[in-house]
Amino acid sequence: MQLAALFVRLTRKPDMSDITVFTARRIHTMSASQPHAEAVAVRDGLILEAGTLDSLKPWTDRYGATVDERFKDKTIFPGFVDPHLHPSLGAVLLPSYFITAMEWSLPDRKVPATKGRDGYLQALKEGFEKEGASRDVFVTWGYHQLWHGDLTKADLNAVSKDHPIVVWHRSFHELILNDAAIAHIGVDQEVMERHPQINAEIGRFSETGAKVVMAGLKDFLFNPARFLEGLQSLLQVIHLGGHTTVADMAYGIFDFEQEWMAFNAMINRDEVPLRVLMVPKGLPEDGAKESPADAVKVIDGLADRSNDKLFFDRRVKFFTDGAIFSELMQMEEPGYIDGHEGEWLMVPELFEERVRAFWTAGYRIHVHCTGNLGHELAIDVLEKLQREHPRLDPCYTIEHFGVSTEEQVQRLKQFGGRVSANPYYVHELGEAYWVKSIGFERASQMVRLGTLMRENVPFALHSDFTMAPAEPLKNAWVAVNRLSESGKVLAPEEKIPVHQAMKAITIDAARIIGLENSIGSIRSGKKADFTVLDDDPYEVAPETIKDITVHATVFEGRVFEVIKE
Amino acid sequence: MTDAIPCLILGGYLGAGKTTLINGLLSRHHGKQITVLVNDFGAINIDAALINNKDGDTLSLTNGCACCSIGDSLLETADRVVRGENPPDLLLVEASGAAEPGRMKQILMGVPGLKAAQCLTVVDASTFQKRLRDKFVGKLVRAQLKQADCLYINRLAEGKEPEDPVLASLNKPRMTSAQEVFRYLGALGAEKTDLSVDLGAEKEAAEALQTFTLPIPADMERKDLQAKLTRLPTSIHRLKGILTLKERGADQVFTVQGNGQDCTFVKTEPRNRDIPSGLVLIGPVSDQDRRRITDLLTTAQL
Ligand SMILES: [Zn+2]
Repeated sequence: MQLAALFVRLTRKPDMSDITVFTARRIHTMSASQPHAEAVAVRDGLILEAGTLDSLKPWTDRYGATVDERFKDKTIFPGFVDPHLHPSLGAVLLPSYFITAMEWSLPDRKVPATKGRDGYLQALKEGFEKEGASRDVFVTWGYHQLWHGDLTKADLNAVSKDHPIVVWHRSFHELILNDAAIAHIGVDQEVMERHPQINAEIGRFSETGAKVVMAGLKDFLFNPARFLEGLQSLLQVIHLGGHTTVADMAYGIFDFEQEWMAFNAMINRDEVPLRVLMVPKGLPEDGAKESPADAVKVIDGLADRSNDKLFFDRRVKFFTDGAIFSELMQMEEPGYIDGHEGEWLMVPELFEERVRAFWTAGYRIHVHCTGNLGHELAIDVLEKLQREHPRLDPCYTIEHFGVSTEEQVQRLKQFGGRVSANPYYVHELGEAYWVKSIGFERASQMVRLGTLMRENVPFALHSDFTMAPAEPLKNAWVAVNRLSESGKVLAPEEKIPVHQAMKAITIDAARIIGLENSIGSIRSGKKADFTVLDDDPYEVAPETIKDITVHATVFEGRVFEVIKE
Repeated sequence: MTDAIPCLILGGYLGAGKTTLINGLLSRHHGKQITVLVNDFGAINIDAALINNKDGDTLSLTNGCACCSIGDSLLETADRVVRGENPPDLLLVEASGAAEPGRMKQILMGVPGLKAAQCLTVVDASTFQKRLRDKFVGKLVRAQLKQADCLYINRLAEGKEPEDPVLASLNKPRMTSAQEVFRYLGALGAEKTDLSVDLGAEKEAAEALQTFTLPIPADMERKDLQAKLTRLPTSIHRLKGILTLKERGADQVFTVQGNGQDCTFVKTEPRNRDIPSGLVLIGPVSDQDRRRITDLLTTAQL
């Protein structure tokens, strides 16, 4: 007995920490070879193995272990992964006061669904009374005329005559200002009167008119203190959603250096339970001097700054067509019902030329696509590059996957592409776009996840936060149920089973960003990242998956409980 | 407002010839202060002797013109130029190939002190039909035409009128030479001050469009000539000729066509023993430029 104890002490590496075993009501490992477990042993931030208290004995008998039973009534998943969100956009938005038609769960506030004009005005008044005085400009986000009716300057003046109030539209493309706000940012009188997208009478600034306001508010919105406050808030949002890894899928969206400084200060800290894969936006931008080959060097150079929390992996982000929330996706015939046209975010030839430079340099490419013509361009370029310079690695991902066709999915499969999808479009836009934009067939079939399954194309789910809530379970819920905003089921053939949806926010999400060897499932040797849920998505009624709360996350073996107000 | 600055958007799809026009405009001595906002700063090609100062993304030229990169925000860049110490007589804005000029006009409406912008869309007559049929950009190219106030039909085969039904149906004022465009810009720029200097007027004849023929020595190697042509100023927008040259030491007749940057040499059967070996060059060049070009092309050495 004594001899055995001595042996243990001697063979144990002096710097090795103790083993912790977490037990749970059920552990969903997301590993097909052992889908379920009851206990998982963790040491030094890594998973030793998952199984039962009994099966873990070869480790625990030899080294001893602390059995942590605090999750014994809970369900454990691998840490959730969001392979596409925008920390910088979140940091700019979150310090705003939310009044939204849909529910939003934020760490410091639970935002209820507000509908109707009266409801909106009431919420605005309350919000202003609560926070108005503490901000130079009271900015509220989430207004949408479909749900909140018409809103004018007069309504805002009634809330306050002399404190600037800015109502920022859900789509980000429109603003309504009271007189004090118009005076505060000093909009030129002549511009107010002549601008075709500024309605001076009702204080509404849309699209190109909104740019006038955004330029005037820049110093306020991008003030460093406000940005850091927003980033802090964003980290809480991400934790509340149950994430342990996310990808910033357009790092440098505002500025490479300033974003890096802020991220490094806020995220590269021991107490932050998150790692971020940095995927820079592709260069050269319009107006840049460098050639595509030089742009590759610029992006290469960014990787030197990698650390454990913020790191690069030779991935780059490009864009084809316009934003779906602004109805600027490029559509194949018959296009939009009202006959308007979408837009290209990059000239198609330049898109091809720039992607080619990164493709031949061995980068993995992520392409933002929203409309079916946008997808067509991205897949045409994929096909061309595969014929010119074949690659067998998973190197081309369609991001968002708004409106596509079945044939495009088949061709994507043929040329080795994959998909990172935003299913939330179906819920928030499905019905509105059916009625007003592109008709039932194409709107109901947006984000055709069922087709991806039938064609065996690997896919993940993402939030694109701030475009949709950073709540993986809400996305899984949309993917499983395809319920529109008013509760109609849209294209039931495109639903996916719960297991597929849960994979799409764990192991398949890790795969989409190339991290499947270290995260995404609970198996021996991976990082001990877990998401602990109060209920089991496999057991509850599928329509209630979104209501399951995240109890805690475990990041590299350390527990970070979600603090509930 | 009387002192508002006139503004022109130079629209058109990728490769239509916007940059050539801008390079030509910036290199001329026309007595106007023109600020050009460009998308692709890298494509601006100006003789170093003309550059007064380079400060970040702004080039100031000795002729009073300036060129700035649009950067992230057209609205803010244009606003900075208009509010600057030395506001220009004319603001010229190059649209990106993907841009719809109508939307840019609206953005520029947000700049105090700037007149409502006009839009000139440049059409490349040689590729235009193909672009219109392109599944990705056909509609965009059409929108760029529809939203224009006037058109510049570029690279039109000599002496031909554009007969395209799409263009004909648009019924918009058309220009078919850079010279006309410069004259049009001169008229726009005159609105702000009493300067009525016409950018394309006769007194600028020294730099007006010229056509001249240079004798090319028959002992010049084909590849040497090809290398020399890449050194021509970009204002030479067209060259052509039937030349006797050396190909690896042996005589060979070539039909030469294109411009300095992109020129084809096609082997040709000599029809007549004594073809004059002359190269025709077309473009707006100064006398000084013309002397330099003559020295470059009429001596066999590299
Ligand atoms: Zn995004």
